[in-house]
Amino acid sequence: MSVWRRFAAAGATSAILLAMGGCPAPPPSGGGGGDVGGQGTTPDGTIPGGDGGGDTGSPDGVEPRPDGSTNGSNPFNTAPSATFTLNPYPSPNSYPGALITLDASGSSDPNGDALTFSWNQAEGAAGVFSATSGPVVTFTTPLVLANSSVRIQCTAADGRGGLTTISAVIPLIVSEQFAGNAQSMLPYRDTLTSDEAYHFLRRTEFGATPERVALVTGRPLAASIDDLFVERPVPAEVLAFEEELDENNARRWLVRLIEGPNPFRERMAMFWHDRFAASGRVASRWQDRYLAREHWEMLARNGTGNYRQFLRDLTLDPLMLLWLDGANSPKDNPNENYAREFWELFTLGRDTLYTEQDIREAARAFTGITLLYQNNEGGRPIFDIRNHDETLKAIFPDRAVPANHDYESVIDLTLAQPEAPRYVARNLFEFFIHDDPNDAVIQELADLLVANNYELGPVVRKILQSQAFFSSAARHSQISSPVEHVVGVARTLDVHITREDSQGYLLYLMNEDLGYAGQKLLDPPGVQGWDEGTAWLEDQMIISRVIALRWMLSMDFGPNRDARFPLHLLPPISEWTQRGVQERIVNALASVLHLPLTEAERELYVEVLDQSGYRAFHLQTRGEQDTYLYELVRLMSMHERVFTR
Amino acid sequence: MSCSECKQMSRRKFLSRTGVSLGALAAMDPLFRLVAPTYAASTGGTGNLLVLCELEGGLDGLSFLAPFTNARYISNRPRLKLDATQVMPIAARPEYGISNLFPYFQQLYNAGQCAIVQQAGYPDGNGSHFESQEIFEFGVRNLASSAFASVPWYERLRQTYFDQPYGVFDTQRIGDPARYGYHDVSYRQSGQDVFARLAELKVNDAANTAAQGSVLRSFDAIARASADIRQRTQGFTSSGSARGEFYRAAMLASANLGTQILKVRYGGFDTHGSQNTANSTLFPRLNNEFQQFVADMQAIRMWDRTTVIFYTEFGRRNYENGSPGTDHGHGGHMILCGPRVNGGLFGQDVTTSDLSEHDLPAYVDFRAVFSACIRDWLGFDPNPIFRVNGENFADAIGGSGVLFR
Repeated sequence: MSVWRRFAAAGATSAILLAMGGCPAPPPSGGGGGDVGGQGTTPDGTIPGGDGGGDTGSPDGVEPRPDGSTNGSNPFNTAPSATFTLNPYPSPNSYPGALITLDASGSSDPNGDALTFSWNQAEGAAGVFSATSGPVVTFTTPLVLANSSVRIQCTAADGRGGLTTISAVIPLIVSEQFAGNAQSMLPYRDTLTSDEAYHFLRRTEFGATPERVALVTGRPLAASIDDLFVERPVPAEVLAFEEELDENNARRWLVRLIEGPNPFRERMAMFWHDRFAASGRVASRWQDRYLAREHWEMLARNGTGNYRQFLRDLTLDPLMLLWLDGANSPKDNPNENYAREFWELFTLGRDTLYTEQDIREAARAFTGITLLYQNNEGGRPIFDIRNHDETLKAIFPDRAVPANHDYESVIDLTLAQPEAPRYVARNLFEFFIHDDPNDAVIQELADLLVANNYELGPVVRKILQSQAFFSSAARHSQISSPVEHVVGVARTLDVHITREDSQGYLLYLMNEDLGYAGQKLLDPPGVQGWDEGTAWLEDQMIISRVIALRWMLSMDFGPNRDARFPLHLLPPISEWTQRGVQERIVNALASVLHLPLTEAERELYVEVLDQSGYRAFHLQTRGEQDTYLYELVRLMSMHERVFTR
Repeated sequence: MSCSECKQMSRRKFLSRTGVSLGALAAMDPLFRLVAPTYAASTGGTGNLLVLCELEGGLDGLSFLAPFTNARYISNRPRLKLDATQVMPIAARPEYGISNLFPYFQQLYNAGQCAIVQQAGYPDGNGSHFESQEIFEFGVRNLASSAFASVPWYERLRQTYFDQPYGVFDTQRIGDPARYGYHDVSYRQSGQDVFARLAELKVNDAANTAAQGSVLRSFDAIARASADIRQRTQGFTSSGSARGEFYRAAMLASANLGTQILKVRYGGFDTHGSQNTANSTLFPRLNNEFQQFVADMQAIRMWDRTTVIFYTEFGRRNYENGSPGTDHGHGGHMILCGPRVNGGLFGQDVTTSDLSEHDLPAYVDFRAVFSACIRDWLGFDPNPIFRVNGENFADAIGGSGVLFR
């Protein structure tokens, strides 16, 4: 629940008047719960403003008096009576980054002079004013990391030397997570807390070890974002292992996801794999057995590149040409499959702009591309002008003149429509942040995309450093896909797989169970990719996730490659015979997974180690300990905070 | 009235409705003794089972029931047409033939237990798979305006008439009943126990985000249903090699959980390219797994109270494309199979004029067919299910007679 809603619900306390002229109102105290001072409060919650009436001051008294007012050495002038309101009124709920409206329009002047107002900040870390003059301005509180406060000053001037300055203190309470500005692309602070760093790494890299979280908290956010875009060479042993897996493309990708040095790159590839879904099951020729891997590499290569180039590569991608029949669309009888999905799924969105007639026209424009098979290699795209429909095609006839379109000009024409950048921006926003962007923020990102000629990098950077990205609306607000979930746990617990097990089954079974859990890599259920969100919560899929985690727990952990357990994160085995080690084990795992456990939850997890009281963990044999610890790790990996993102 | 009289009454009502003579009663009595406890919990209605088999991607109706003598059909589909050697002509209507890739459907048709409703769909067809599937799933044409659009129509049916926890099963949701529940490997099953208790403990916690709440509610539901389902499906094994989704459906039906709707999905029917090759795998698989399902249901003596309806989000284009395959069309066929189905051709016959269009028109509203199933097979009033929020449609199914005997 956002702070904004809480204030709205509070009704009358949402706006409290501060007022002073003759007598300063005491600054509100931090623990006041939204009620200001109290003395002299009228039933509607306002404080009657003092006035400067009769306050003549000394002839040369331009210095402010103790009450903050001066008449400007004019014995016939009276200083203004200044007052301003804060909305929402700071309370224990006020947080770093909160947007507060400051309204001084209730001020008055005893002489009836027109008043001007100036605003400044007197104390505390610097926040941002929307303007420093005018009766109504907004103030965004600074993104501090520790509880503190700021003091805001407003000076009312009557134009004849009469000045009154009043101030208010806004306490800033840092909660566990940044609450507000769920739609704001304004930059977030450059230093992250541990939870924020974990959030950042889960969204960009699946998951993170405690070391990696420490790295991100220890350097500016901007540096961490830059680092995402650095491509590191894949270690030779990882490549060698992938080679062994040969044409088992999904398993190769799983290895890369768990072991690869560029998780952000794979992360983006997986995101696009869901938007540009294509399945390896259409590559039925023996020569085409690597097309799915080439498709994935194409997605990874373009993931944060240029969207226009991405669409060109996608249109010519051999797997996509088979999947949506682009390779088999003769000019005298074109296939509409690719044309429809190009707009519905890749560029505009369902029922946006295009008509059935447009689809027929575009299908003609996409003709001429086919796959060439040579030297026992997989299909290679070629453009055969003899098979391209060279007549005029009237695409978007209300907006463009008919032309002899081909695939490149259809891409250009589509990207020139204002709906296209909005569709791309919305996809990126919803992937990284949350499901409910407003139109303004989408337009802002769409404009940025167009301004950069469809380069995705600047938009992604903008998103990752934004306040919206770190807002509470973006935290645990989406449900992780099975692969994201399992790979995330693996990368958090420092799991490694450097070889297939002796039977050659481990990755095979994990991939199978991820399929039952709803997500088989390189084999989406259809052109729309995977149903996301609560569609991941089919009973069978949840059960299969539990089973898929079993295979992950058969891999090696940590720097020493310990079998089955993250021993490097747990109390040493030599202490497992000590009373009370159960709680320490539970706490250690909860800390790595960033789970805030209640006492009741902790007790239940301890019960797993004690097998419901059958025998205390520290009295068990090592074999029993292993079995029950394994169950605990798996159970905690299913925690709703791990299941959500 | 005692409970056994209650059952007698509903049994008589069922018999009179379906036109079974009293003579048949004696022969069928053991069956009734078997199934009566299962379905007695249902108040009103017949307590029968309706299996919804959704063929995802858009089944080519003309490759199931081919108007194989029609010159327009032949010229539309130079490479994809079926000829006399590839179909079983329908005795009463020799201009139509059922594809030989569906031998079991042919057999059922000849036994008078297969009804084909031709050219069904909904007005103003949408070419998007997802939108069209949602229209069939939610049972409303206007997805945007309907407050009911987020609940499948069969779920509305359950909530309205037989609000039982297991009244509706989706095989995709349940999966393999033998693996149902938290998969614990420990001695005391403490993991499973704690999984259930954690969900119970936290499911109503105000601090949950919406997403966390959904996860916990799902955990809770799994924990509650798992023991029951696992135990009740323990003994069930299919007698054949064909498994798949229909096998799961048979397992769930065998569990005696009072289920009245079973939803099954088969995918891959979006045959834009190489349609003949695709169909040569897709069709026999569907045919065989369905046949095995019928055998399984007969073995547990429940086939007599079962109807299976096959449907798809839209039919395919009348003429082939160059791939060669067929693009998205509009009107499609709905197929009903079951021992009480009134076999034959229904809906609007496919004419030369229909075949001259881009796509087959949709003469019969799919909701009229589902309504007939609800009314004549399950014994409920379908109007509160489909006529919601100003939604309306033509009731006529066309053809002769009604869909059930």
